[in-house]
Amino acid sequence: MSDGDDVWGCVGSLLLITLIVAAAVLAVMALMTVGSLYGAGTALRNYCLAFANNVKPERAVAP
Amino acid sequence: MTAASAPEPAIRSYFFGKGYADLRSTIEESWQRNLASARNELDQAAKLWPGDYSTKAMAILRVAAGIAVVVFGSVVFLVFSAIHVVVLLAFFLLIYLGFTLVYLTERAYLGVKRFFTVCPSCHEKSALPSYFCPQCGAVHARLIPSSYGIVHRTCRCGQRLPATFFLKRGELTSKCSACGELLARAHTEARKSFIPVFGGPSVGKSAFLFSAVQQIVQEEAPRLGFVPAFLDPGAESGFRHACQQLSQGRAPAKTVATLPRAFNLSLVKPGRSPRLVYLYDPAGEAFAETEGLVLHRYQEYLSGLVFLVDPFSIAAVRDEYRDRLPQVEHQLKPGTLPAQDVLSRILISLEESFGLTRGAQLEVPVAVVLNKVDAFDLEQRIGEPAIQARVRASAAPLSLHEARDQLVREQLIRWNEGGLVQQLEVRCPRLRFFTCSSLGHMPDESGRAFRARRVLEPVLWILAAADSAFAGAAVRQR
Repeated sequence: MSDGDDVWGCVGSLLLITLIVAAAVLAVMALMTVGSLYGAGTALRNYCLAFANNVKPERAVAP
Repeated sequence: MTAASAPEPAIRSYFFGKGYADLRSTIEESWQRNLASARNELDQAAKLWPGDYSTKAMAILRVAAGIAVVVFGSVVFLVFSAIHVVVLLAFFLLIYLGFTLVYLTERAYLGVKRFFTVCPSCHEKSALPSYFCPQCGAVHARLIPSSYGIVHRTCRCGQRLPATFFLKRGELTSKCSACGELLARAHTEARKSFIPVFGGPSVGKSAFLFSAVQQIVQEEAPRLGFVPAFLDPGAESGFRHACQQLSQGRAPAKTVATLPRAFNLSLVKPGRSPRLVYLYDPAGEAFAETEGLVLHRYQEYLSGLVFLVDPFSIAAVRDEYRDRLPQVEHQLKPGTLPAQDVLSRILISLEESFGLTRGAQLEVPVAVVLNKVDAFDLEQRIGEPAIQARVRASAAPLSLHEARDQLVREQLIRWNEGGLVQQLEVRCPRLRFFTCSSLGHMPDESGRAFRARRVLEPVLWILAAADSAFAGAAVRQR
């Protein structure tokens, strides 16, 4: 095998590793985004439910 | 302004009361729900964990979801709680500014109009009376722009009530906050004048008052374009009865109440604020001692006072007419309390209880009125003929009231009442002397109608000093 084949092999390996790392980072970021949206959405729903349950104007009493 | 007041039977603005309880409940419930959601995710993860790799992966996702709910959910919870608080406080501030602005505008307007509440019964002076809800009768003690509403409020029964003068709050039934006496609209929403008729027993205060009111109602009010009316049916029937007595030649019955109820006369003229005159006729016995006068709280806000003097309460006058007096003593009913004693008690009462500095001058106009000048030859000596003669005889130009002041003053001094004159002149810078006959002639058995003479002049002089609406009348009286 020639020296040129070794160089191309190294480059290919580096690209592959970079691709894997980038994919992993993207996956983690996506997971975190989905996770944060899920957490925020759940909290938003909870606040809205609590708001609807508790916030009511005071009513007059029939004489 | 209103925060420290007692609770009213009305629904407080959401942003001043219930909103904060609701905020607390919402925050508590929302937090509990977040914890429950996170706990639910962790419970699900625990159930999934024992399975194969795919369920383990799901368990890890559930744990991540639980952590996300705790971390990101708490952030969202804090942000929404803060927004909730800010919205509540923003509305609180807006409403506070709104009702403060309306309240201050109303106070300024009522101040310019000189509208305030005075109870004719207990004489309490206040900014406003208590108002009744027309539906349930609940008493609203402070029906003003407040945290219960900027211009309206809702009674606990659901009835909407106007909370400001500008929305005809005065049409609601009201009562005195101190004694509970029912009040008319004019007791608050009218420009008022307060004139007591002071004097010892039997000086003729009641006859003076009724005769003056009769002349205002029948002559002066129509002349000035006012429509007179009585606020109190009791006062009106008392007035009608007194007028009937006077027309039959009978003197009005003696006043018994030492603490009088105000006699209210309403005067309404289109295009002008209504006027309400408060006249007070305490029994002469009230001036026998100083202590009881503390209850005469109208002394706090006098427009002026009529100080009625019976010449026959003066020893020198009785001495002058000693040969003729015994025959008519029963009809004349000479006053029993020296005028100087009465004046001293009034001044002491004002000093002790009504803010007059000891020895200071009384700023309101004081009309000293010598009554009963129809008796014997007093009319010729100090009445109109004598005044006209004095004007004619004077080298320098002399007005009628100046001539009258000179004449009565000199006569009082001649009757050894120099002390009274001096006390009046030292303490009362706005002083005028008048003479009158509150019956017009000596009481007799003939039944001849009484027709008062010159009772209106002192009253109109005081009214004109207090209120420009009566200035024309006072000028004409001179």
